[in-house]
Amino acid sequence: MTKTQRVKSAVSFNQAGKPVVIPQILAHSAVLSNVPIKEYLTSGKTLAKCQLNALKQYDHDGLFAFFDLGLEAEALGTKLFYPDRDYPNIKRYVIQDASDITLLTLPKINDAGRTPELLEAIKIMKAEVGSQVPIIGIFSGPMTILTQIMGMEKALFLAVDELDTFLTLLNFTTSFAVELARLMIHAGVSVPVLFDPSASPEIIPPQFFREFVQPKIREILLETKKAGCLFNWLNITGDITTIFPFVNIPEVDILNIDYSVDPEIAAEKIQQTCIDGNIKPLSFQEESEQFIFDKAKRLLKLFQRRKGFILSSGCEIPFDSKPENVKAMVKAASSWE
Amino acid sequence: MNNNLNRLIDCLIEGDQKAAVDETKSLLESGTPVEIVISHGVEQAMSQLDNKCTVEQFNLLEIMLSGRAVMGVMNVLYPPNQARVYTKGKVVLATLEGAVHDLGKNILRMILQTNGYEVIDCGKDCPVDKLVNTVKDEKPIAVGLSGLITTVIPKIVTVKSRLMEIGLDEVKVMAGGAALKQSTAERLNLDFLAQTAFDSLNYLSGFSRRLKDSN
Repeated sequence: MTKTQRVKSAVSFNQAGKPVVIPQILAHSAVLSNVPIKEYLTSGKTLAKCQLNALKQYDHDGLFAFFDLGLEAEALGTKLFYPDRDYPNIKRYVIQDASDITLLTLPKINDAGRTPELLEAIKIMKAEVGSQVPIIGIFSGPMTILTQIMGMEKALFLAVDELDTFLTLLNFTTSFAVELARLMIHAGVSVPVLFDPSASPEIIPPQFFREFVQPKIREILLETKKAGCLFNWLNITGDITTIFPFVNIPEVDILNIDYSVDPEIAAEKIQQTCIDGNIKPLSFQEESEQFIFDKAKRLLKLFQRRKGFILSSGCEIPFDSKPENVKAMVKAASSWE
Repeated sequence: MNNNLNRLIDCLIEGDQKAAVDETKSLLESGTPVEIVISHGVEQAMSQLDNKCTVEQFNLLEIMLSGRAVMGVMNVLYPPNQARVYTKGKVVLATLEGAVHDLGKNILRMILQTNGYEVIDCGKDCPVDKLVNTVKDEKPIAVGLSGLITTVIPKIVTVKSRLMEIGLDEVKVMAGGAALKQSTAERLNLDFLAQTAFDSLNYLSGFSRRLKDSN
């Protein structure tokens, strides 16, 4: 059974064999390969090399194609600064005031910013693993792109003070997300992840999510299905219990739960959708192998009867996660009887 | 309590800046002293928001709207040419380099200022050196830091030690934010790790009281 088939079996609740395990290994793979973070975040070749090396070392069930949350904003004109060993910081938002909004146009995305590098990474990984291993491509959701092009504070006040303008912008960022996701799928991504931390209930009220954001998420995920992806994966972050009714939708095949979500409640409330999660990311850096192993076993036990589960971290594991902790998580799955 | 004060509290909790400002103006016109508007209006609203933050899932948008309303009211009570006297002590705030957003810090600034603390804001993308120098110059009772992503942790961990190296052991270091909440105060080398912005206020209030009692 290939890794892709294993993921398929988890998503369809027909899991046979060992549990599927996909820790969210992003720039940690650069540290693992002794590659500078800055190089990893700017070179498709490097990203692909590091991801493939991580797969070889950990033997988990997926490769990730993702630089950072600044990719979309940079492609739209936001200026970033790249520290040597960190994710880029925003130096200047592309939207400084209301008049900038009217000047925004969709760029030729496959040429904009670091998108060509990201697409190259996907193609290299695809050439290497074919259909054996799912290539998981993360792209920002519409709320996150919006907050990354004008700043969180301005974006949220805009939503309250000038709803029409906010919705126009949300339509724009939705179109961008659709186009980027399509390009990623055409390059070889089989499992797109719509990652929208700015849509978390810790940032916006559930009613706001239901009214304005969820319809956009559905629109994007319908398009990714049309573009030929295997599965849609949704990651909102934070405690999403209050928006379960709005994310437990047919367009979502895999729903991420963060460490702050009670997995028992998730298992009970989300019955038809595969869930992934939810070991606390920082524990991969701070805790022991035994801690991770035990935590992973508890999750596997909890979901054993229900099925439809991918053992994962609740979000990206830190750069400096201990490799032995990632191995302990994979071992918990591979030794599962 | 008079009805206008109750209405002011409601407007602040609902985050309706315009209505809150109108209520404040009407309170002042009817002769209510500024101190009463603060203690029976603004501080009561803040206290109710604190409770709401603890018992409900309160989100940033709602806190920001209330924060904006509170700042609107404070600008009416203390116009720019009539600077407020801060009596509870000085706090230095910063979002360290790499921490992405400084929204958490801005909310804490509003909460502290409203409650009588003088705030020195080092802004976002603040290098640890700049923070330490500011603390050295300003001699605050505490430092407040925010962090949304885990990559900021190595910098957070150094702050207390850097202050101790220059003899500023007594300055309390507190922090909060999505990434930091996954850890513990001990591991982050902090005096206090806040779950909400109001936690920091409550920690400071207790600490300031103890400091006052011991003097």
